[in-house]
Amino acid sequence: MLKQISRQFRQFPVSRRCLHGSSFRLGATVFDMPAMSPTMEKGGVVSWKVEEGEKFSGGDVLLEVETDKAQIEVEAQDDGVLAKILVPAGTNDIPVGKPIAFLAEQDDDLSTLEYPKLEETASKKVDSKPEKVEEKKEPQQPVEKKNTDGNGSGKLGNPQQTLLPSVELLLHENGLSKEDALSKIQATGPSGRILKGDVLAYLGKISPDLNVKISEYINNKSHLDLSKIQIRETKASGQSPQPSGDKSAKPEKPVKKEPLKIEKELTLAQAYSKEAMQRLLAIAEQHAYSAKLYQEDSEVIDPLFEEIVAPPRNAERFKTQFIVMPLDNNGVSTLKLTLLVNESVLDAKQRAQLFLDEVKDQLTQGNGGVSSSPQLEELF
Amino acid sequence: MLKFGQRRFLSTSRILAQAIKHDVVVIGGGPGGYVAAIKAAQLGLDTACIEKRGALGGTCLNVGCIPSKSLLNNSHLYHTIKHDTKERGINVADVQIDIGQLQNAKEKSVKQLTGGIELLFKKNGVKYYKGSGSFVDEHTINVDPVEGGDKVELKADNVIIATGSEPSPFPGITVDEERIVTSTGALDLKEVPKRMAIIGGGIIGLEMASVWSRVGSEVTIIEYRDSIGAGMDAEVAKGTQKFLTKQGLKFKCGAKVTKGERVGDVVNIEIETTKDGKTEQFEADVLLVAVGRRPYTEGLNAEAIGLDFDQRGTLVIDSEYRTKHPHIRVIGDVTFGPMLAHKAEEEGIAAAEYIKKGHGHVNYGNIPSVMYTHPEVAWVGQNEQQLKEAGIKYKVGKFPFIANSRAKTNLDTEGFVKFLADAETQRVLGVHIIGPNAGEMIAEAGLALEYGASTEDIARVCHAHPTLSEAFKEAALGTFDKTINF
Repeated sequence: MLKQISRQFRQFPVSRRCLHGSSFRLGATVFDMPAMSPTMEKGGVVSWKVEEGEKFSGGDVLLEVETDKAQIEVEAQDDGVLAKILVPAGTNDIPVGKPIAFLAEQDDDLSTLEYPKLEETASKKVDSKPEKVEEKKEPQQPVEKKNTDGNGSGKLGNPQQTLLPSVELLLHENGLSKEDALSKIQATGPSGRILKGDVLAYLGKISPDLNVKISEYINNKSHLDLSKIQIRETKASGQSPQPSGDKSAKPEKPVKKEPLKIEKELTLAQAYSKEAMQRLLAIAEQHAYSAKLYQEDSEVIDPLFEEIVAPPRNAERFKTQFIVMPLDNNGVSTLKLTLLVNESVLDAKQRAQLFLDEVKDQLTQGNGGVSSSPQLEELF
Repeated sequence: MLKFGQRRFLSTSRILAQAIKHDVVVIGGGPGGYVAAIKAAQLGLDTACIEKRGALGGTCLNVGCIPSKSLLNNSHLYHTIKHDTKERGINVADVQIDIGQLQNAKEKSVKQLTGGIELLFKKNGVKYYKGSGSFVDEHTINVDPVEGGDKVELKADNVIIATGSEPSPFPGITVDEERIVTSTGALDLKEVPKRMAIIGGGIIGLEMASVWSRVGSEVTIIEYRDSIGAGMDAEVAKGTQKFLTKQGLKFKCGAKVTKGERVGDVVNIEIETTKDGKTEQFEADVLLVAVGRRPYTEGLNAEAIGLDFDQRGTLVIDSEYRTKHPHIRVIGDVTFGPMLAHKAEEEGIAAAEYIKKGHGHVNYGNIPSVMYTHPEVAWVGQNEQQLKEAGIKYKVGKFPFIANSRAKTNLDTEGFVKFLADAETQRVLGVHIIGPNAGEMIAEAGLALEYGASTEDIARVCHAHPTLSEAFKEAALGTFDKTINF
């Protein structure tokens, strides 16, 4: 197993951009200690295969990393330059995610390269974009905020928007400029967007009410409808539940209802003493409680998971009561069996059914039982 | 070695000594939970995630969306190679299906993806507890470990419950995951059943029907209502049933299952038509129960801390996913809304943002649904039934793939794109697609809805030629003008 794992991860390509995906960067990139397996928490740098200032291309081995399982070569995914080594070869116990080097583009000038501050990158890896990129976004933000509340009706359009093609054409056809639109037309679109309908309403080509109606309809659909919730009643219905603190207020079991009652008559071909029947039922009960309710040799079902999901072993699933009728003239007796199934335990019905099946089996095996009344074959 | 042992001992004793404190504890590592955990960590919160399955990714990655897509894609390839090569000029001699390898390929994809989330946790600094979480009080969660290890008690300032859902049982039918199966068992069949019956003509039922019928099963779908495809536009549902029937699936709509019982290796099924109460019996080798899913909160001990459930067992929330205890939020299948992985993901992000910034955003009017049959069926926004009910005047624009050049050259022309737009303003209200790669195409519709676009806006955007997306553009055009190519 160990061997397998180490083989699987031996060639582990690392992109210098893999943490960020897209952004174009002006400075050096931080290269963090890679996680070579899901369980790896720290590792050591055995050796650097590329020297400081040396260029590498995608697929080249950058360094060798040691985990508790294996030594693994780390490949570069993109071309680049190893700008600076932060953790020298031979260092051990480096936590995953700790910066170990700076990488740069192949044509970057290493002497003027900007290095990101390390504390900052360690804590906010994702946000550490160069400021230039951030600047562009800024003007949008305050405006967006102003318009995001409510459905936007009765408001002017967001001045930052790019007009929709339909809107632009309609304005042009009617001799309106973008400035006219932004200062006169009520916008009903998301985030203050002027929609085709808004322009049509402004031009009087459709009724403004219709336009507002459709945007209200769409806005309504954008929320979960939480208006018709029917709360499941608890035992203490009526008095308001006191959720917090009070330890004595042990959770009420949801819905205290009458236990499911199953009555079954089984025909017996021989006499049973009460004790014998008790013994037989005890065996069946044991069988019903211990049986596994899932398929064991499945790749998908994890027995461990199933055990944890299952209600506790000792929770009472059902109560049994029985009467053995005396032998009648035909030499046949009847077993009247009553089960009270506690449905609040998830698998109670299943186990009750197992119990009944086992009783039947036991009776047939012991040559004593005959069939049950047919309409009771199918219980659930 | 000695050093290692010591370290381990020290950390264990620390765990025993005190509860571990986190800013956010997410219960459940499915698409909702793991995304919420990563987002919360990215927002600078000390975050932990508890998962008891032993693998992250929840139903979706382990026994849902992902494994089914592996089977769907590979069975489709097999079916194409076997039945659809000759007229394309490819002669294939002998085509065999190897179910064992088909399942291996599926398992491999699943393993890689679930392992990938563990790496993402590591990368983002999310602490992962393998175990089942249950509330001790509203700020304390007990973790009962699944793979050895110690019990841990976590203290949390904020909790996100994302425990998901499980297949709904069908009253009277006992699932053994061998002959009578849920979607979990249907994904894991070791051989092709000769005859397969499926209760429920929703997305899960129809996808599984496609997989097993492509590799040779004779599949019958039993649907209680008169039409299949829960939530689909009526016209799309009808079209879907038509192409699936053409592919060899049998449908029994308007039929109630009254019996489903395993006898040896055969399942005896009895149905009763809802109209005239006629009964019919038939046999199948495998019966799939796919009648929907229900919220899953087993072992969470949510009642104990006073959380409200509705009558279906759904955890009750407000519009910011808060429960009665405002620091405990609930997202995904275990609360309201459609039970879809991508909806849970969106809510996961929003919940994390509510915790950190006080606001988040999910547009519930713009959550796409996709059925990955072939051709795929995808839709987003409102359907005709809903618009009629709301009294909205709308226009329909439709374009069939048979008139699309790319579909034609692909010899894959089943289906159409259908736009529903407001009659006056042409604002896009809903888009419904049957067609090759409809699931990818629906993203453009989502973008249009999100920006409040009119169909004219879409029709005026240049779409590459020759692509399937031209059908999308033409259908949009059809709501207010004449289509060019049809």
